[in-house]
Amino acid sequence: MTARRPAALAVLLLSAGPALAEAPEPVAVTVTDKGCEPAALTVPAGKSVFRISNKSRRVLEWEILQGTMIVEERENIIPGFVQSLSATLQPGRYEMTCGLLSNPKGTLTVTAAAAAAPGAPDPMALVGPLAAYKLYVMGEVEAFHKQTAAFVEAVKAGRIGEAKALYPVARRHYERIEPVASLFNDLDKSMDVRADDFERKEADPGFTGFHRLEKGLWADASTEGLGAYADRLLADATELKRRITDLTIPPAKMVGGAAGLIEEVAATKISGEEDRYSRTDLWDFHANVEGARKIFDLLRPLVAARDPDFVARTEKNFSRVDALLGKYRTEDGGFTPFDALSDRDRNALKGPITVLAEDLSTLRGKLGLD
Amino acid sequence: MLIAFLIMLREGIEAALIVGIIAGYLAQTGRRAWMPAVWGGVVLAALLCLGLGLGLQAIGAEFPQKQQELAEGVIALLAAGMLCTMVFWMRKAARSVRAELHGAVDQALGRHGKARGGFALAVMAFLAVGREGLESVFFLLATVQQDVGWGVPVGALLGIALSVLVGVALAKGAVRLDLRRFFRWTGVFILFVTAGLLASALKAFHEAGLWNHLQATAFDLGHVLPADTVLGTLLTGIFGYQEAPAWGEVLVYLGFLIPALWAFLAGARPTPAAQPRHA
Repeated sequence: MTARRPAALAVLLLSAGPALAEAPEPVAVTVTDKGCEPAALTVPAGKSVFRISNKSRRVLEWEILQGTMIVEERENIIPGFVQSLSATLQPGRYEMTCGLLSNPKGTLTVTAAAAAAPGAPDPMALVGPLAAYKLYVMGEVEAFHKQTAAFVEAVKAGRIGEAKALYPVARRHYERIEPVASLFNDLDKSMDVRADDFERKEADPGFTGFHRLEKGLWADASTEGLGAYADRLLADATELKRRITDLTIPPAKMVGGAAGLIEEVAATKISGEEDRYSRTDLWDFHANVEGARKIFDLLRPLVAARDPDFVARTEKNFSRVDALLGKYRTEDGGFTPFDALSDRDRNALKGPITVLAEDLSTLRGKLGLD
Repeated sequence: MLIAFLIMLREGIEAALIVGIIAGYLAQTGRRAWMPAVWGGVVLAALLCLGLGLGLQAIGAEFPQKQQELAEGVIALLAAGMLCTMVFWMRKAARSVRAELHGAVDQALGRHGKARGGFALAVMAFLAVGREGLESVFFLLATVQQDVGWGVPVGALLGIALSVLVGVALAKGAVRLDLRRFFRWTGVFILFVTAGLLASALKAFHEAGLWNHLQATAFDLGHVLPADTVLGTLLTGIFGYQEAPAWGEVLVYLGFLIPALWAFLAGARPTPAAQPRHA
């Protein structure tokens, strides 16, 4: 509606960088009959302008949602039209509607604006932490593969009780290294996808992996027909183990991943959407926090020199989250089922986790990786 | 072009419907003298929307959708309240009409105070047009600005034109019916419209960020009867049809319509029944 700016698709890329001045470049979203392109957007907190092109055959209502709440929307975009929508957004995870109701929703991540980095540290200084992190990831993948094999075996043998007990244990290792899961996107999708991502939800043949088995064990209380899914899961885990040795972890991925992971916990996982059948969500949260903590610990020496306050504050926040999660520990080292938590309990968790995510999101900037 | 036509037809019908009902009602109850006031309300609202749209456009400000939704919700509630009152007044009047015909109507109207009643209807017409007007103006501006040929704005204008005809036809059609039939049939029709208005009010409050409950989708007819087809558009404009409504909207729609229809139809029978007073 205002003066036309040249379409700037490039801005969509994850790191818009420090070039991002006050006037936000428009972020382009194309909606087709199948969904949004791209399906995931990341913008910095504050004012953003979205340019929505309707390439579908239907009149469009484009919305930015938080749960069922509509944060911003633009109605009546007719096919072939481009409309812009400006929105001032708080950091967090949002969803966007992508045409028909049955289309998968897109995700919109709003990152906290990075604080200016006064003199980024020498990139060479990152080599040490990066190598240590790689070792950590390899160790976790090794353990993940082993536990997954045991889990798969229990599923295939029809030992439901044992399989149920092994499910959160195997996942724990995976959830710890989730910051780098995007480096093996294909495997991540096949192992950890949720039913919501499919047009036909749980009935979709593409719904595989942990959550498919979880549904079988808890919701259907049967291992019938799970054999193929179990085999596929183990094959994926084996393939991950094979790939991980040669995997290069970019510094920005490691550093940014810590924040991304915690942000995801605060924004979407806290609703209990992930382990909806088994209610073992707290296991995942805990492993996510551990995974983020590992990254923070490795980087601490680098950050401590430049911003001791930040380190102290983040330490404290980690302890707070740990203490909160500790309340739900069971005697055998596991966690209370997530549905035993009241809304109040969940909100009590959400606050400190959000604070932690916001702080961690400045890590990249502090290390000059933006 | 077709889609632009349909969107404007839908927005237009939503406004024209209420104006048409008001016009038909005034004509039937012999208060045609109030029509200029109604037209005044319509024209004023249209000019106001156009001015506001062009003004916001000129200063480059964005269309505040949340406030717009809030206003739409409030107006829909007001309109629903008014239509509902009217329907039940009609039912009562229909009974006396059998014996005393028009005189009774005038008398009943007289009791409420002629001037105030007429003025309220003019305001209602103003609000009904204003409710859909802003949205329409911005849509029209967008169609003119984008290089998609002349077909789109022309289609949009044709849509408005046809919706005006629908409003006029409704008013005229109402005039041709005899008073008793008018009350009976428009009453039922208006109850459907009112239910649609109530559901759309709930939707507007959701879009304004005020109401976030019962938002699971009740059913999805997006592939069967999309709201951007001709039939879908007419149903949306007239009865508030949604291709994929939330549970809350379905509950409001049926929760109003079923008891209201029952009360209206039961009360219309000659047997004297306990009759609630509607104010």
